[in-house]
Amino acid sequence: MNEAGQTMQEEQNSIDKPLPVAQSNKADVKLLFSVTLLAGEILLSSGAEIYRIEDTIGRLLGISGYEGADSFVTPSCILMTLRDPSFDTLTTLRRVSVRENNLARVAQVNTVARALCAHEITIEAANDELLRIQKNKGYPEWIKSLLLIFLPVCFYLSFAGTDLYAGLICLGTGAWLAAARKWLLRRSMVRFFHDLISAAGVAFFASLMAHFLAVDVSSNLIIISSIMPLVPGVAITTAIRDILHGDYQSGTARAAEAFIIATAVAVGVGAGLFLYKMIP
Amino acid sequence: MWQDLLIIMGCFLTAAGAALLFQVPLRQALICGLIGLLSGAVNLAAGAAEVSAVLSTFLAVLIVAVLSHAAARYEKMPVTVFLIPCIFPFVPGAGMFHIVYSLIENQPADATKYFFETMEIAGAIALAIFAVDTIFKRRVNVHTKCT
Repeated sequence: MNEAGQTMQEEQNSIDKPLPVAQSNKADVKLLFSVTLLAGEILLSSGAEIYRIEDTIGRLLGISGYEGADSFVTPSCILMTLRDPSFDTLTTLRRVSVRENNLARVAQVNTVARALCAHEITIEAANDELLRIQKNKGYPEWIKSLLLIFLPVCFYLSFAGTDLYAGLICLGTGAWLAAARKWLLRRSMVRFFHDLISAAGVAFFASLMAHFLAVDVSSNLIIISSIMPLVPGVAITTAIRDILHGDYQSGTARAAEAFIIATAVAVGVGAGLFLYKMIP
Repeated sequence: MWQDLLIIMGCFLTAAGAALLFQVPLRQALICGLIGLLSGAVNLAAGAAEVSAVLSTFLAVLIVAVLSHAAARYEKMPVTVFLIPCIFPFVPGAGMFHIVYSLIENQPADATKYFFETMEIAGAIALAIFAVDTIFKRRVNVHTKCT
């Protein structure tokens, strides 16, 4: 990236000038270390790619000016270390269990990390900013529910569907998806069963309504449109990019995640269709 | 003609909607929508030229990846912000459905056919992302030594 290149350039230029951390005491190094860990934690829990996290950690620790820094990130934990002859090697391990997809946080942490690497902000300011980013919940829940209600209709349109009644059924399945997300996920249900039940409800409801309203198109397109919000798009994309960057462990882990989600959705659709066939 | 417009509008809405679902800010979500619109148009044109589903998905994702990298540089944001929401509409959900449907209808031959088609589409998506990422790839492993 251009900006990254510039950052490197600026660091090269500023090497004659005393670096803010390296010249000061060890407390600042500890602060930098915890800020870096916080940045890595936010990135990992927001669904960033592994190579981006390792790169960010390396660059942030790099501004300390000490001998070396290493990081090893998997989809569930961060391991990072900073070493120099002048002090005991600093190493920490942080386990990250909550994972969601929040691309805004990835972008915000990226901005803060760049500003810090370019010495535009102090480490304290970066710490405050990262804490603020971590607390920021993003769009409110009702917007997510509204999006889930309307997404199946949008997918139905993009799959060349034109039937008005089918569109209305898509609204219904979307409402089911939103309700399932709101009520089933609240009970901290395993993701697998959440996807399975959502997909089963969609398939059953769509088949039933298509039968009742006597829609002249088959219910297949409605079901396909309605399960699209459940498919593992994020896991697939991240798995591909991790594998490309040589992080085979994370890549295969995320590919497995994608496969499990796909299986859950498929089994759910199967169960829904089977239920519909059981009705005489 | 108006049906094509509806399809392209659907592509815009799905990409923008997926972006908002992943918490992307409004401005970037609209850019995602535009990328989705263009890739949807490419997909549609490829379909009209009677290209196979695998190749048309490959072309569309190629457009998505190139435009996402361009948008990431223009907006000074990570590529993921644009790539993930715009890939979303091309994930082979239809293939997954047809596999299960064939199994329920007790037609394993069809299920096998759809399984391989789904795998081919997934492979096409991966190949397109690989190709564009390689072109835009920056130096990695700069961080093993502190500057």
